[in-house]
Amino acid sequence: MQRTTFQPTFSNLIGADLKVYDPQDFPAYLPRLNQLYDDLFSGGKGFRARLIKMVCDSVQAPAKTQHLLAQTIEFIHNASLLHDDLVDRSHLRRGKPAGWTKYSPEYAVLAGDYLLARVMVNLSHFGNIQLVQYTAEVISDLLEGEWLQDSVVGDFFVSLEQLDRIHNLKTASLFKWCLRAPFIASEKYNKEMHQLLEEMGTLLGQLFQRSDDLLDYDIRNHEGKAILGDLKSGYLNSFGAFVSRGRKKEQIDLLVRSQNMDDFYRALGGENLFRDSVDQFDQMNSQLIAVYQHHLQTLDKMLAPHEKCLSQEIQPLTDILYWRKKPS
Amino acid sequence: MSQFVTLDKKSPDFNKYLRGTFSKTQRALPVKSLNVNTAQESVTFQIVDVSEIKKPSALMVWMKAFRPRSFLIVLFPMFLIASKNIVDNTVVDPETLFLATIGVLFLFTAFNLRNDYVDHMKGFDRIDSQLGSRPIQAGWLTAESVRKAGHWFLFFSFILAFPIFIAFPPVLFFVVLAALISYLVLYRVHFSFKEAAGGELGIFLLVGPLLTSGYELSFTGAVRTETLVIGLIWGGMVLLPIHLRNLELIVSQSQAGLHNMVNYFGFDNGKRLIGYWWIFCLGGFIGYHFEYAGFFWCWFYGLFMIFVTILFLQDLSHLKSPAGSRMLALRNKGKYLLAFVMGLWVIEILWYLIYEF
Repeated sequence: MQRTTFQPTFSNLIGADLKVYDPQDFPAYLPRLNQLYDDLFSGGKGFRARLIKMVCDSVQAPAKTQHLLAQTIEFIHNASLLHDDLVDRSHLRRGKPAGWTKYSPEYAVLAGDYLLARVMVNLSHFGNIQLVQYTAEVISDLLEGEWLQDSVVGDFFVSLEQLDRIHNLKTASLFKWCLRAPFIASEKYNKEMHQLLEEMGTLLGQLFQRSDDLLDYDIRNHEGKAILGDLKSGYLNSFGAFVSRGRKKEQIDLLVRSQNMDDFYRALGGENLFRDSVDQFDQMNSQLIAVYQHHLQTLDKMLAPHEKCLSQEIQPLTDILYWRKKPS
Repeated sequence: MSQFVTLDKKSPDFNKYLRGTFSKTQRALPVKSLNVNTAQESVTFQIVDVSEIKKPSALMVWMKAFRPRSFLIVLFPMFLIASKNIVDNTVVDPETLFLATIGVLFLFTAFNLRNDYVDHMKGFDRIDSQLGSRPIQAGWLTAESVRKAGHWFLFFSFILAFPIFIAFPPVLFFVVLAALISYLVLYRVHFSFKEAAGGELGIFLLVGPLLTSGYELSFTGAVRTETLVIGLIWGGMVLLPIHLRNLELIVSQSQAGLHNMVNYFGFDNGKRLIGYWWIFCLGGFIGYHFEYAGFFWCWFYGLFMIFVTILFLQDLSHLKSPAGSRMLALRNKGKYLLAFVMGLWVIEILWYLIYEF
């Protein structure tokens, strides 16, 4: 069977039911591979692919390019999920059995590796060496972040600053890629603009991660994410590190033993104190949002007239990613 | 003016904002940095009116800028050398002893201030928030005022050293050598000791053999081998907290292109470097006591030191990552280990002084 680099056959690339690959993309002779990918890709929100579409639309990238970039980011993201679940021994992903439990740890590793390999094959066919290089850098950042994150599992005394460094590698790298890749693919290499997009991607990644970490404490948890899941898995996330600052070992021990939010409130010293901490955390992140909005104004001045819609499109991202507001 | 301003290194205003010379009524506080220490570096500043910045009294601000705790690095070896010479009755000129002590403290203040300035200009204080004394980062002082204050302290330290040059001209050689090394490792904004593997050796020489030898020379007119050995041991030991800090920041420092000894070797070999480095210093410490302090001090302190070193090395070998609380705890243990050495040595010297008087 001949494998193609990418197929422009998915007119509804970015929709409610995101589908960024075609069975033709993967060899049918490998048992269970396509089934594994079907399970993996279904149920995802495809936020990163949507972000790619926003940026691609503004730079007027052809549909083929949009598809390639959306596929690339989803392949990288899902490869990291496959590996992450195995590393973390997470049994569930998007409410379904994680890849490594349903298929096997070996298949999960190989399927993740295969997605990353396909990314490189597809991008090399596209022929933009800068895009290949940048993508390879992002993948290596992502892996460095995962490596470091694994080293802090079970460490309940990690600092917010240390977690930020990890999240900058692990989470923010993909957001940076989403903002920059469409410009690189369109051969728009304005250094200053790329620097700005890199900074904005860093901020979005940090805000997304911190907001995601708040879900664990049932803050703005509209998606019904499992409460204290990170903590129970031995991972003190950014909000956990924030509330643990300056506390004694015994107090932190009490916090991390919480089985539910009532336990957590008690360990912290009451629900009011918890709410105050959330307010302080939000206040700290509002500063990041203000910096993002400042960058957005600068970006707007750099964009060509036909690209100006980008700054409007990505303006509400902080509301969506941090405050978890529904996009209009 | 916007609340935030983003500037990259190529901007003619970049250094003005970092130095704080862009306005007399406003401060630019760096809130986000990208590509620190590269040609593509950009910094987003929050512009704040000076009147809006809450700060302690001027005395407290400057005390914080001087970092009084760090003075132990020079006060300790100076105490050792001065006490030993008092005990051995080899102080030739008490006046130059006084001038040299004040002069070194002024010089160290100048180095501290310069170090803060360079950290701020290079962005090292944005890689590691524990770096720097914080008055610049909090907007209490501009980097420019810190730089100027550093120059004044440097100037006063030379004024104080002048009578010593007349009394003991060979001191000039040590001062010139120290000036050359400090220029190479501290004063050049473009290439400080934090940027090149082996740069730490400059710190080793400055606070180790050069300090102890030059200091002793300034009030005795001679340098004893023992003093040189103390300098070598102390210079080596002082690098332990620096190596541990570099180990914790190995990821961000490597990404920023900083090549100190630890990130030159990498995380695993860097740990080995630190372990062997400390064992070497410990060997020097025991060897010194064997040669100069006698049986009791050598074995009593040797055993003590070997015990705490084993505990430290165990923690070092169990360290699996530069991220996480174990790294922070190890960094603190390194500081305690150094404080422990100082404590032991001070007890020994106090014993000599009490015995003498």
